Amino acid sequence: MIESPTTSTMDREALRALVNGTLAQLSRTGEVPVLPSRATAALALVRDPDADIERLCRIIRTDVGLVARILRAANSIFYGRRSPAKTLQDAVLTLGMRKTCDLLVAAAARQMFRASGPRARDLWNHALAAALGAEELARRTRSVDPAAAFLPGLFHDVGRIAFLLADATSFEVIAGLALSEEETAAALEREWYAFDHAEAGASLAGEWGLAPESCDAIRWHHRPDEAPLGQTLALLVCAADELAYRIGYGGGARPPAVGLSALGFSEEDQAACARDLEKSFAAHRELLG
Amino acid sequence: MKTVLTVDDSKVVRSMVARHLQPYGCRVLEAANGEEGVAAAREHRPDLILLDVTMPVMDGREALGALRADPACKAIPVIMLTAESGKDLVLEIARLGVTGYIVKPFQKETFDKEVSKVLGPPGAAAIAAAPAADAPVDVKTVLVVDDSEKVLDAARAALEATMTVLLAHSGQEALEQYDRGRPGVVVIDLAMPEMDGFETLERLRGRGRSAYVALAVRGDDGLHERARKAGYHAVVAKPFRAGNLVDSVLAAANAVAAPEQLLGALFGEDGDCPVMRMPDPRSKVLARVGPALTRRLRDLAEQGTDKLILDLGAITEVTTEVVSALAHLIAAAGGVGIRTAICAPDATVMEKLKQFAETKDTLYGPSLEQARQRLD
Repeated sequence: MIESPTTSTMDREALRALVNGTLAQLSRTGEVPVLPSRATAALALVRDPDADIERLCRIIRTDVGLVARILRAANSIFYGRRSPAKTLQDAVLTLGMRKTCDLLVAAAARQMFRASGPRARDLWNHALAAALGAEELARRTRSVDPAAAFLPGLFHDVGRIAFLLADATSFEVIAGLALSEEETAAALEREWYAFDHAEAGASLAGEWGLAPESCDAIRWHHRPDEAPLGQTLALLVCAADELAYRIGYGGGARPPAVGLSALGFSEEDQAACARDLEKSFAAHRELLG
Repeated sequence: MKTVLTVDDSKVVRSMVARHLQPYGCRVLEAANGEEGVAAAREHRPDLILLDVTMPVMDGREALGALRADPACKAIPVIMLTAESGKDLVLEIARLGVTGYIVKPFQKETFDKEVSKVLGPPGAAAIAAAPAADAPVDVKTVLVVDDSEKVLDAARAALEATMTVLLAHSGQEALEQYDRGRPGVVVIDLAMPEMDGFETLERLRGRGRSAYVALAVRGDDGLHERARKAGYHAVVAKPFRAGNLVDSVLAAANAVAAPEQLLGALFGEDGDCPVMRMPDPRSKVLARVGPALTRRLRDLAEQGTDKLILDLGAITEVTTEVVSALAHLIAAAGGVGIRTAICAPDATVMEKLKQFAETKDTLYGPSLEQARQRLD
């Protein structure tokens, strides 16, 4: 569509103004989705070099459900300890500060995806699968710190849930066209909103306090080679996106065109990766719902 | 049927327009640029043209000029679609002499506001074809609308003992089922793809005076509040317990039933003695039937009845509400010369009632037969 401004070269602030303005105008409430405050507090801790366990525990204690969830995580087979963690501090020590924060953010983000119907549930499954997939791929490729891969994976398609929350009808029309037309969902989104879900997601994630490099990975996850900076993380998220499709939790009509193969993974490696992801996905789904 | 022409180089925009036009029940024609648009307008003479401003080949301004210069097309109302909302552009569009403009991306409310100026309110065509809105509804029938088969199954299992249950998987299907069954209560999932619970409610409301119950995700207070404001009588959180759904549906049915209908369901007979079933005070049925009940008692007295059994079979707990409702009933019956006896199958209910000043001197029996014997 010729009148769309080109968002590829927009700086973060200009993109944020465009995304926020459009989403607010579309939504019935005039609001842009916000992450629950516990999640933003945890995100601030992730970025704070002086963060300590006590501060993290204080955030967790504001919600009894979260305390139980973190304890259950620490005692799950997945993060298995020899003797069960009895206190919150034990649990946080087992999981590590960073992993605890990731789980806390994921648990809070889950609320946003509870909003409406089967579409939101599919998007949540896709988000969780991609987050764990990104972690798994980071471990295998050693190209990125695995701890830095979870959140960009979790939020890579958060723009789509924002689209769904703002106006479900537009979301359905685009999802329908993506199935029948040759164009990708992202191209169709740009025709309608003037930006795509990757750009919307990066903008929202920036607003919620995700690190700039994570936001860039979200913004460029459909075209990692065009990313001005941090192409490695963007490519990893793109591959995790594809991996989520492989285990049956895709987020849209088709998996991304580039991805696992660009990481140099053989068919066997990809299959092994998918098997591991299936296991960790099942464990975390039980934990986070 | 009216015809609307949408002219836009984006397939997405044309699809959005077509989707938002669905409630208007019109024929939608598409053109991908100004030139095609003008040609289609000349051929089909649509009732409305939605015209994009910026397009290749011939843009919206040129197309509008061509339409206005053609005597056959110049009177057709045109609404411009634009990607910008700048003041200069708005002024320019206003000068072009169009009916209105819509900024893209738009949502339902914005679209309807402009388009309904020309086409009338959405759903008007469908309402014209449907039964009259004031045709009676059947308070014993409930329609449940949800895109989840699991929820529909659970709702049917919960409700089928007390009501006739109709099911629909989407808002569109709900409209068809509604006209077929005229349900007194419609239970609608707020979060359905395509037509959500708000739009479904809006479109059903023009068709009849039913009561509406929303199914909404638990914990989203904002959504629950919005549902009530939109006109839902009650909101049931999902996943629901069968009892909760039944209570809400019955309360909603009571809210729409005519007092005579409600009263009819309360009165029966044991032999030649009239029996009135005491409804659960929480259902507020007595408050709604008040004047009709007084009339019914007077009619009974005029027909020569001098006794009435109050059946407390549905009451499991004695509250002050129960006591005062009974006292009111006994006094009203006494006022027209009808003596009353209470049938209380639950011994603890009977014991408790005898402790209250208002009800301690009444006649009691644990069964209808014994209550009648006390009256004879």
